[in-house]
Amino acid sequence: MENLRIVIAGHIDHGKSTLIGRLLYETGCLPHNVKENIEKSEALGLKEVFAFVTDQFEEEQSGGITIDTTQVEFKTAKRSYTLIDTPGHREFLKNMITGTTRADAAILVIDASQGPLVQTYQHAYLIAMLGIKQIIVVINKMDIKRYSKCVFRELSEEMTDFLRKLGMEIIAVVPVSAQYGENISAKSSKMQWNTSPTLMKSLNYFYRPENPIQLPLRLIVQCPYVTDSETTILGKIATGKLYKDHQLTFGPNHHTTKVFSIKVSNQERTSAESGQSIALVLKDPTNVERGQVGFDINNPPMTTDYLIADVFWIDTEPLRPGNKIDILCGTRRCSAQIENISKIISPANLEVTCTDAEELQDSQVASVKIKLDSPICVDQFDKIPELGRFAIVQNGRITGGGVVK
Amino acid sequence: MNKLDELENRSIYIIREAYSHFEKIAAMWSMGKDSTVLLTLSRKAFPGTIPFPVIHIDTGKKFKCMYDFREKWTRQWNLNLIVTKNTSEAAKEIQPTDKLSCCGLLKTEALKQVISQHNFDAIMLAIRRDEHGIRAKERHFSPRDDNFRWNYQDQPPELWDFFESKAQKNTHIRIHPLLDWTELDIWQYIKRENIPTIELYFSKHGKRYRSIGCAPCCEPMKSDARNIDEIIHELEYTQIAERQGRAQDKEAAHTMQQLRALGYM
Repeated sequence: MENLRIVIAGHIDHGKSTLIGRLLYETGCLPHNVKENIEKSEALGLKEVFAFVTDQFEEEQSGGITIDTTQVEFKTAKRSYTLIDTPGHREFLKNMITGTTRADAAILVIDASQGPLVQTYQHAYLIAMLGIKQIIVVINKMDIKRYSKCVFRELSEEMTDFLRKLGMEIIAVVPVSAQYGENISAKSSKMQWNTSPTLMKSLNYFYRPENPIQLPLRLIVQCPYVTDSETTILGKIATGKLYKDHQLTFGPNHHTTKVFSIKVSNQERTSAESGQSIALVLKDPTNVERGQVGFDINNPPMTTDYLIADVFWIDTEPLRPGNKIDILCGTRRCSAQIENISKIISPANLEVTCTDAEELQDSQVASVKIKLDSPICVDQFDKIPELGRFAIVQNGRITGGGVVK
Repeated sequence: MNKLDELENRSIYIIREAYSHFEKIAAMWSMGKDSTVLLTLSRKAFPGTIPFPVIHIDTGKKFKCMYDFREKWTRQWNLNLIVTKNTSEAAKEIQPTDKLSCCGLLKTEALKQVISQHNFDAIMLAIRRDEHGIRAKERHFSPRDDNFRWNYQDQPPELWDFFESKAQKNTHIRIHPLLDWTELDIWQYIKRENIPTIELYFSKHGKRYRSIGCAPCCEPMKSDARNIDEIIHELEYTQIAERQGRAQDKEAAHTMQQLRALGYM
């Protein structure tokens, strides 16, 4: 069965966790004891009962907010879905991004009575920036707006415009009430005017991102591994395909050698492809080390000692020009320095708010130039995402990330 | 690639990342289905034998067949096995009636002892998100402080496949390569790869164990599933939580959170 990973994003209190609880409840994916608890609490008129399915920390339940990201699975006849819940609170943006980098598709939840707010735009912007192409907009809490067609239509148009500007493909815009289960798995009698499918049906229109076999070969080296008899190179094929007897070049030092044998899952193969963890025996494994990238000499990545990139910052201490950082790209770690923060972008109107900035604050997004202490292999994010993204590390902790332009 | 292939490849990637990041690393093995899958993946990740030790925390309260299973497969797979037990007076006297203290002393304390004895800076565990709502909040690389505490209110970000966690002195990182797997994935993989399992998982007299820990705190559940195929079939339709038979999960609402914040697995 195929699996699709969906991140649920949106402003705080717009009903992300409740929507997930409701989806699991209606698809019969909750354990008996949880289901019973929900029904009992509902009968008592308690709110937020559905949100507790994912909001499991004591602090989350007492505060009625999501602090950290969670993943839960549910199945339909067609495929299984992993739903990634994320916090809408500004303070927990790092947890939202942690969840979003693992997703194939996104659902953006908007409270019909409030419309899009700060984190609605911010999350949408980050989803697009992090490379997710397809989105469903859920207009939630339609009950508060008496299931009004006008309210839905206005919000729908506004969000469609905004998401198109971000280059997103809008799979559906669905009016629901997660709290009361309207238009989740069954068509709502309270919204007769709505001709589009339910949320459950709309999920079917999400597609699986293609396995990047057709892209140029990028092999990420994790480590050379020496046993008594030989040296094996352990790594992962990020994109493309690799064959036995292939001439393989390793960057950034451009050392070329022949592939003697390929093992996938400890079994000898004549080829391997993107997504597979492999073990290679090479004609000449000397000079191949962790952090290098293997490729076909006719289709190499860029070898560069500076990066022009879009960066998001998720640390309380701001990022400033001149700051020393470490960059993680593939398995490569490289010390670097921020040369400049050329422009800071406002997610709400997509305008530049500051040029040549003195600092990039927590939760902000900017175009930056980074000077690397030694050359690394990268690709443009929109061409080969797997080698076009990086993390920024300071003092043993990830404090930001970015995509190469 | 199907889901099992994706899970297998990513777990192997994480195991190799952990091995490359840390000098002193070990994997925890309870002989249960999940940690035996973890060992299988570790064997696939490296040519030859697993290049790090495997730790069994022996509470002295395990089922007999688990010890037999441990001996057989340690030999067969040529494991570097470390068996550890909390031998303090308090641990000898503790009764399983007090879950928090019993799990704390016999499991968490024993783990603390073995980590400090061997100076491990990382340990791999086979926990999964779908086992428990609290485990669902975990990271693949999850730091613990010198008191073993899990700072769940401020977990480090994890972006794409980048894991960064440097163990400071006297702290360690928990590595969770199986976090994304579900119980059903585990059984389907056990079937596909022909992985050995303890007989307690299979139904006898209309009951089977679904989750196995210490004998006094595990209850079998009603089930007629006598083999792997029947277990897979059962799981496709069940609405009973996996750890329903595990006493430490059933106590007060947030027992698991308290146990884990204090260093429990």
